[in-house]
Amino acid sequence: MRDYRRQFCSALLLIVLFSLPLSTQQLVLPLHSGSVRFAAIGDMGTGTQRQYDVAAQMAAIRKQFPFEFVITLGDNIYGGNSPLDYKKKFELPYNALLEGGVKFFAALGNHDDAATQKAYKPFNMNGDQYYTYRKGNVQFFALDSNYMDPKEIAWLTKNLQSTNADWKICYFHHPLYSSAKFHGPSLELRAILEPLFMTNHVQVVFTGHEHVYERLKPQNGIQYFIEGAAGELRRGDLKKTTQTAAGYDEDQSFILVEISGDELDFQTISRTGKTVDYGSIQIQKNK
Amino acid sequence: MPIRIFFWSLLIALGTVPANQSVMAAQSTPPSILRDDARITKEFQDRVKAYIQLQKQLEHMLPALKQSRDESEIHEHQLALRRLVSDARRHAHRGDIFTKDISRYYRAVIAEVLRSPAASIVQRTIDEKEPSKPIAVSVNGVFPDDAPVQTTPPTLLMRLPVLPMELSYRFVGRDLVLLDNKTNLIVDFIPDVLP
Repeated sequence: MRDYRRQFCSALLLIVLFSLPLSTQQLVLPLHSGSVRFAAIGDMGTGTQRQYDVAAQMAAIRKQFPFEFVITLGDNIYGGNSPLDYKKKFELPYNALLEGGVKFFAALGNHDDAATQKAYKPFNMNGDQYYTYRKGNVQFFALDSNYMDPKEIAWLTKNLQSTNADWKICYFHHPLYSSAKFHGPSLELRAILEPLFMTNHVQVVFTGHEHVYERLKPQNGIQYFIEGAAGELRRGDLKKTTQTAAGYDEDQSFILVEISGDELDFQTISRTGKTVDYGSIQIQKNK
Repeated sequence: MPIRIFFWSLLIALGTVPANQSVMAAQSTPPSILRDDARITKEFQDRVKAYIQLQKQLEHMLPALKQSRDESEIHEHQLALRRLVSDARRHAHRGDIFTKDISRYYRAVIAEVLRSPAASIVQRTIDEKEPSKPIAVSVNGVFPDDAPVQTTPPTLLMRLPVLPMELSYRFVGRDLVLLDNKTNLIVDFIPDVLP
């Protein structure tokens, strides 16, 4: 009997220990009624335990913050496009989210096979390499920064101009601003895209590619986030500059976002459940 | 070329933004090389059109590819189309699409962009690549599924003939590759186009 009790206590202790990281999650988002709620992840498709850990954190926090969808910032599936790759690097890690009805809206990275990913229904690309959709008062633009040709620029311009959404959020793989050492910013893309963003009142941009988390100070009125560490990680790669508002390169992470009216709230959470950044952005609605 | 005209107009309209000036300069560089622009572009696009027609004909032989939750369906479709295209073009050679004239034109355009005020940021895009296994470039060869693609400089894409969505320009090492986006087959290439 005593042995059983000891085994029971040991098992209980193990459960408590293993569930500790999940229980450390503290939601700071306001949970406004009717708000647009989503998560942002990039460079996640590694199939490693760390990707699964991040996915588990996302599933756990969703009980407190029921986000409806996830935007992916590219490098969704590393190292091949076989059915096994999709299973190991997407379907299994995010199974709890997929089963819970969470939709993924993918943008392509430089490690992604465009032909297969845009036909893959769970990525919701509907056969397009770039596309737009609306959630509440927010218009999202998923762009292909690997191949920004005149057709894509013309399409983006037209759609940025034609939406009457209060918020315009663009996301793609290559960052226009970055303080990470490995890649750095894509200056050519910045020269082409930033004027379009400014003219057409894009308020927030999410990118990946750098395997860190970084929130830039607003640049020309635009809030830039990098979240390229939801599977990959370049520990110590972030060299914070005067452009950096906050950053984290010690572990994998993901971002939660809530938009209500003219307020955007965000919370960045590490693989172990630690909140590494949070804040609120008040942005003038574009009229 | 309405898209190109539209885009150039757009860039000119945005000329007050300092970061954009170097890109604009590349756009407005006098087109000394473009004396044959219309003829060469037409010839290139005719060849591309013929390729796309072939690809479409072959694709019609397969069950239509729909959005699918089953990645194996998508993957099998890609492999089947790859086999068909590769077989139909088993006698294809380098220069079938990038003819000598067209290659000369492309080399000149790329050289011009790399001499322009935009050169430094274009070169930076070209240099920004990740380590990967060397890729063997050959007509009808497969661009490896597990290899990262290199961003094609947008400034260059504004200067080169626009491709249909089934094809893209990619740099592989110093070569410019015309890639079939559906099958990842190398349709044609120009070697050593980069310095």
